[in-house]
Amino acid sequence: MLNQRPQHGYAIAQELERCGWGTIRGGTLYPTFRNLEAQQLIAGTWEAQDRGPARKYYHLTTDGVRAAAEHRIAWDRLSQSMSGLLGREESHDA
Amino acid sequence: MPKGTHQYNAKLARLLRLRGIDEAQIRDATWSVESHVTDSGSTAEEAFGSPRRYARTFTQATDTPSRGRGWYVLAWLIASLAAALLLISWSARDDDEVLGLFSPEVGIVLGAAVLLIWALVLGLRLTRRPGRQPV
Repeated sequence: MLNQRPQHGYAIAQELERCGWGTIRGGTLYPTFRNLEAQQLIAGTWEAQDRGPARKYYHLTTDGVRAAAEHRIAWDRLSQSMSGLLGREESHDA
Repeated sequence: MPKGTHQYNAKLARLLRLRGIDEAQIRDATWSVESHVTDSGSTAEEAFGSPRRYARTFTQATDTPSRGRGWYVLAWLIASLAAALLLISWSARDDDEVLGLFSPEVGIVLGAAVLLIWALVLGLRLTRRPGRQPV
């Protein structure tokens, strides 16, 4: 999600909700951001708004981009492996 | 901004200070709460849980020494000495002198005054508003 463009916390929560993750509360979201910031995988920048309080926009750091790419490869492997396993089980049942 | 956000942030800031979290993190946390509830329309309590519970998700950075640690230790040392002076003076109130320096009355007043000032400063530091908007 942050690969595409920097996003603020509530926008990320909404995006996750649209993807079917249900309502992600701030109390869950922001501690995760803090952890990722501490690991220097993401970084946040405060930006003033025309109306309302400033928002913190999060973006992936260079390490974050690398980690996201590695996780994506690992996920694809796991997904293919599981699909293969389930496919074998289905053909075995039939 | 939903009602009660200021009270929520004041309580959160106080609890985070008690946990030794630095002011930059406190400002970041309280402004994140304000920004999130303004966007979502939910109350801070609904979005983040109780201030006490949310404060528990913060941990003190171990790699960055706190700038105010020296003052913090000094303040507690002065308060401890003042409490000791108060107790000694109180228990020696029938004597002429305390520690060979002054009368017990002076010791009681001095100890109580220092403790009172210390408590006031501590209270003000714990309850002060988090910093201005972080931009």
